[in-house]
Amino acid sequence: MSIVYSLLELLFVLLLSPLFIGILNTIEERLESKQGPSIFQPYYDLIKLFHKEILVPQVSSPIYRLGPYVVFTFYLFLSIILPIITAFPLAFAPSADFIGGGLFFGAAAAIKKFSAIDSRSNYAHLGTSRAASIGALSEPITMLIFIMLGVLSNTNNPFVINQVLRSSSEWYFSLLHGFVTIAFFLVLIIETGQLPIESHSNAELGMIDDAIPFEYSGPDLAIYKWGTYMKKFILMSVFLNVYLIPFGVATEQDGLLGVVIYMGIHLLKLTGLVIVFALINTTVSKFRLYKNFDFLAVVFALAFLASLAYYIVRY
Amino acid sequence: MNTTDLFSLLPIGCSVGGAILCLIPIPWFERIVSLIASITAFLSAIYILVFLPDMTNSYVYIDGLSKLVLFTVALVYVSTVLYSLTYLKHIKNPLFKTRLYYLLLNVFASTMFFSVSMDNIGLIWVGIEATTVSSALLVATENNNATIESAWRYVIIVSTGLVISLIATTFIYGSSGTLSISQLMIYHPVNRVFLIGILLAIIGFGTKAGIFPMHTWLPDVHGKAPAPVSAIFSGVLLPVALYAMARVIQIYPSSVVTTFALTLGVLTVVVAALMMTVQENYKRMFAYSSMENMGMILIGFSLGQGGLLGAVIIIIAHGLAKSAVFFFTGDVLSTYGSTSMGDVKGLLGRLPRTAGGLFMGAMAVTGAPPFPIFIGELFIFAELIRQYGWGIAATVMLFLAIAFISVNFKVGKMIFTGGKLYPKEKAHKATWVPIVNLSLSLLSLFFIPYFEQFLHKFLIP
Amino acid sequence: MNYIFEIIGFILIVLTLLMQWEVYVTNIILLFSLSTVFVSTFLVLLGFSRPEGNYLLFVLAGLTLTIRGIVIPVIMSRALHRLYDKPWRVREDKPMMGVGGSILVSLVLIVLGYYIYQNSLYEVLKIRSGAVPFALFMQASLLIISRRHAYIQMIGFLVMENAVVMLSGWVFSGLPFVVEAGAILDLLGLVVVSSLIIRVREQAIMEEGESYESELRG
Repeated sequence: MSIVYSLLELLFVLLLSPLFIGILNTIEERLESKQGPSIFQPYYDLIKLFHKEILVPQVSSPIYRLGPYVVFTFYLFLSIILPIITAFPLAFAPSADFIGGGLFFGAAAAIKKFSAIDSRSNYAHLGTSRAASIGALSEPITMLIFIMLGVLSNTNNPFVINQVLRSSSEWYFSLLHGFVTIAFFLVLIIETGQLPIESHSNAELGMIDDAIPFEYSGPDLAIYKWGTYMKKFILMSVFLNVYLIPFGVATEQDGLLGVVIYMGIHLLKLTGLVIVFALINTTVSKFRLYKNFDFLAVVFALAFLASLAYYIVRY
Repeated sequence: MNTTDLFSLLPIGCSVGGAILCLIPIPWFERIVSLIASITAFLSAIYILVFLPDMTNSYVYIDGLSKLVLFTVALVYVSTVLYSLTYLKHIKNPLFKTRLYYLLLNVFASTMFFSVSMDNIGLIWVGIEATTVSSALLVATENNNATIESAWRYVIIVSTGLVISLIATTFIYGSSGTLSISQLMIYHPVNRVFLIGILLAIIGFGTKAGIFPMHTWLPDVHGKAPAPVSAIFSGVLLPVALYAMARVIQIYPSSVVTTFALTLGVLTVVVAALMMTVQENYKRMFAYSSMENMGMILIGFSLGQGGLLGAVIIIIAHGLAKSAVFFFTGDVLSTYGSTSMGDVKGLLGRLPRTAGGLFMGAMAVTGAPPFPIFIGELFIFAELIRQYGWGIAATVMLFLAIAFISVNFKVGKMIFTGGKLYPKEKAHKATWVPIVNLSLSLLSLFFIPYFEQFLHKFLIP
Repeated sequence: MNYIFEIIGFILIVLTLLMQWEVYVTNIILLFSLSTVFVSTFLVLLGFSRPEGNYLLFVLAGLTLTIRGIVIPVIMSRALHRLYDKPWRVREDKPMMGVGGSILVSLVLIVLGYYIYQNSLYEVLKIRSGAVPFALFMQASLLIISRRHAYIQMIGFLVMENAVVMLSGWVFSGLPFVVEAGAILDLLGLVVVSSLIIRVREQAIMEEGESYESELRG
């Protein structure tokens, strides 16, 4: 039975992740009084890309072509071990805990960068070096956030954390939880590439993540983009299910119907988060490049203060 | 409070009245008013000294120590007002009008009177913070860039130190439930929080008094402020901060506290003596001499008994002598136009009265006999040897000797070299003020037995 | 009540951290008045929680809010407007260490403050969360030390005073009202006087380009 749930979760993530990026783009454009693309536009883009031809630079090695597929596989794996539609661990959930999940995200990012560098393109190098320096700071912050939240329940299991936060209002309203949630929200902005870290234009002055897949084309690019959509979807779902609104996630007693109903509720939660992102995107402006590191210092400080709050209050 | 109690608040009232009356924009009025206010404050201080018994009610705490310090404050206040009457026209490019100067001077004096008479440690803190507020602008009277920089440093460093004092006051209040000195002298709790509060209060008030390592603002301010302001700073502001420290030490004279204060005092003397040898600016040099004397006073307070008597002698004598010295340097500055010692030559020929006074003053301030600062230092050394043995006393004596030699050598170079370089000039109108101060300082030698009577209750072993 | 104190204390720490991040002086003044609002909220809640209904605490909270929260920032921004022709652009021109570095040093100081409190006063006072005002105090001293612009140093000093108010209000039973009121009035006088001094100082620095530390020595 739990294999069925795993399959359901996999298909959920796979099929619905481009939808939310489409919703984000459309809402941003509507907020700016423009008509904007339809919410299914990313699907159309992916389908278009699958029909195009692949061009590979002569100087690249096989790593270049393999990169997007490996990353895609990582994200597929992550989608069946993290709590996205269920509050109880599924068949493959014991393969990796929260920290393992964080490390997988890091591994995927690293492989992305290796294969991008391999294309020997200047823009790819630019994007990779910037993403690497930001990632060098944001990955430890993510680790710190995951560890600090694990302190809540004395485990690293996201499902247990979900349960603890759902049942005990003392932990939910504690300072530790507050700080960690805010820090993770800011990390989410960094990881999913929203403003004020990264805008959606192709301006070379500030491109970070958009510059990495500069040389990819055709189905490689489609798989790469799909992987990116899945990453954003997974991170946002984890944020909502474990940190912010752990209530209402389907538990074991609810059965198949409960899980399906929850999938609908989850879509609504994600739409809410996407609207928040759209509001932020249309209000703030992009940081200049070196200010990103100061921003990261503040995020690190918040995550660190979470640990200090825990020691002062609880220990 | 009955009427005799109200007399204790009279000095405060006089100077505040003088300050308010300074606001009236009649020319020359503010000087007359300040003069009258300072003289009445002085007379009431004498009355308090001689006739008022030791009293304490819920607001005021006056005993022998505060009477003597009150008297010193009033005396230096009068002399500063008298000297400022004719000095202010020498300041080129002042920042504000003379009316504001006198207003600030009166407010400054009133806050010092306030700090010395209050019973509540918190109110003493408020008074000392108020002295910072009113004296900050006085430092910046002359509108040039370095002066403003020194005024700003003064404000920030002293305010930060006083915040530490506020934390200390919080600790004291929290652990004992009261801030009244009279109650704390009778009974105080003996726990760690109280101890930390007392130590922090010593550090915090020490910032205002120029104790090492918080002394960094002192030479800058004295080097750049005009002469009467330097005089009143060195003469009375630093001792008022030391008065607060003395009260705090008296409340809890445990060995930790006294050793801590003694260490700070010795370090202050050492650092001041060493820094004095390399100074090129005579005002800064005398500032370090103030710092050295403050270190000696702190050593005296921390020892208690005979040391306390010596410390009070130094407070009174130093207040008079150092203010006189700074008045003389004001004369020198207005004549020569430079604060660097290399530029001042042939003082004996040019301004003989000032030269003689400066020579005597420098000897007095560094502790030459027969000036009373020497006697005070003897008392302190006697107590130091009795309690701690010869080692520390010999070290301190060595550094005092270094200071003595360097100051007098440099002053002598200013006065005696140069011969007949400049023709003899007419002495400044107000040169008699520092001469009077210096003679009073010498005369206070004869009043030492009376001081001992005032401090009788502290000297009982 | 303990919980509320911790929340407000940590909000103050975060606001001071944001002050370290900010480079523009007007934003720092705004952050300061926001943190004073939180301090006076804390004082009001403290007044409610005291069983004897100490109305003086409410007066103190109101005084803190008006004078420290409104009057002093208004005085400082007026002085800024008078001094510079584009006051919103005023910022710390020559920071001693970069923004990121100062945030990290600030964190180290917070940990240090917590450590010092834990090892010295905790055994006596038995209140865990008293470490928060200590951390705030050390952060404020970093603000004073690491900045050269006089307004920012002033704000650092005022944040220190806020930390002392928090310390006295929570860990101990507060200072007598006379002392607190006197402290607030002193602060007001200090800010007024400092505005004058800062105005002349910054004008001189603007004209000459650097401050006069070397000339002080001579």
